[in-house]
Amino acid sequence: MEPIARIPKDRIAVLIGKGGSTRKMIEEACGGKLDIDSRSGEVSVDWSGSDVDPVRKMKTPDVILAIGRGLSPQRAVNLLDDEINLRMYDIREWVGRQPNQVRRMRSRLIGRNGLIRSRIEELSGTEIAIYGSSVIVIGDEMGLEVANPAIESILRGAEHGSVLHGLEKDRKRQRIRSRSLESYEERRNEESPFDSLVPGLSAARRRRERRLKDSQINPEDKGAIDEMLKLAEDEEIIYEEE
Amino acid sequence: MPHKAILHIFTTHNNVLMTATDLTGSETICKVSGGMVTKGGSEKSSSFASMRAAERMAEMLVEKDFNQVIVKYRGAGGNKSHSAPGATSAIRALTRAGMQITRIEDVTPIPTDGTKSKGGRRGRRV
Repeated sequence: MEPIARIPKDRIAVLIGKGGSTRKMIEEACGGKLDIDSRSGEVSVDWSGSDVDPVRKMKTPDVILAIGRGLSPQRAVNLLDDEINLRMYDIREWVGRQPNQVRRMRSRLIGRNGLIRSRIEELSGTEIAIYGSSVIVIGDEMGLEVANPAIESILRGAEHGSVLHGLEKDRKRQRIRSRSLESYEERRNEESPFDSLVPGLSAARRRRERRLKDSQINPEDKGAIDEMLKLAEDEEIIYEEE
Repeated sequence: MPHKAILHIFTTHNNVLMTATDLTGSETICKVSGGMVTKGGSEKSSSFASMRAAERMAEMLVEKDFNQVIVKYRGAGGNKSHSAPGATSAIRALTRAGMQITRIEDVTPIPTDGTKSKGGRRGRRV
């Protein structure tokens, strides 16, 4: 039994669902057994029994937390996906604890008929839940990067128009980036292409590098010390009088 | 006789650092960073880099006769972002490489009250 989170009282009903249907859905999705204390709101999970994927184990607390903060359970189980992440904002960090201010910011984020929220969701491909003083965004890494500046600037007091304009511009940039093929270069110790022309080049280079990093040679190893002290062909010791 | 190790994964927006230690946490067994597996500076923080790093890490651990790990991952924390962007893909790659994961812990440093975030009252002025 592992304690996960405590959720507000009015979200307990949502977490359990009609006749325990939602709870069963979550249990199936994450593979553990949920234990919900309906008086205090403590949620814990029992992993014993089956062998559960460690990533899911790691993400289940996020799911419960998201449901506790106002996300619908059907959308919250998406969080178990590898790519999908969660980001949380607290409105009180920006405008203080006064309930009027929190309410003002909430309505600024949602907009008339939910216009602003749905625009942000649409343009960044994320899902947003606003509940009390907390804002929860779930989506992939890219989407969160796009939605983050928009939400933060609204909370900071930017005009809706400029925020949406910035979002569109961001999206255009993303579209261009998604068209280009992403390539990764991997770093590994490879033979240089000149090696076929000059036999023994890479071996000489390795010897030289080793000599430069002489502090890394094991003092116990006689052979390594001898090799390090040996002069290369182009090196010699010259004794001169000053 | 296979041993158990602690794998510390530290992911930020710009890089990912992995250090495997013994169970006391003071003796380093091996370490890998994002820059060791990719060439571009901006690729160091990608999920691909953390995946490759985890694979390399698993290889090195197996070589040294470790097959069980306790994963402790952290993000930047403090008054910066609490999310650890590459952690899931790293853990996924570890399991795929055959490591046994006994426990996963989030050890992001979370402030109980914290300090003022950078930028000042009027924000960053560009």
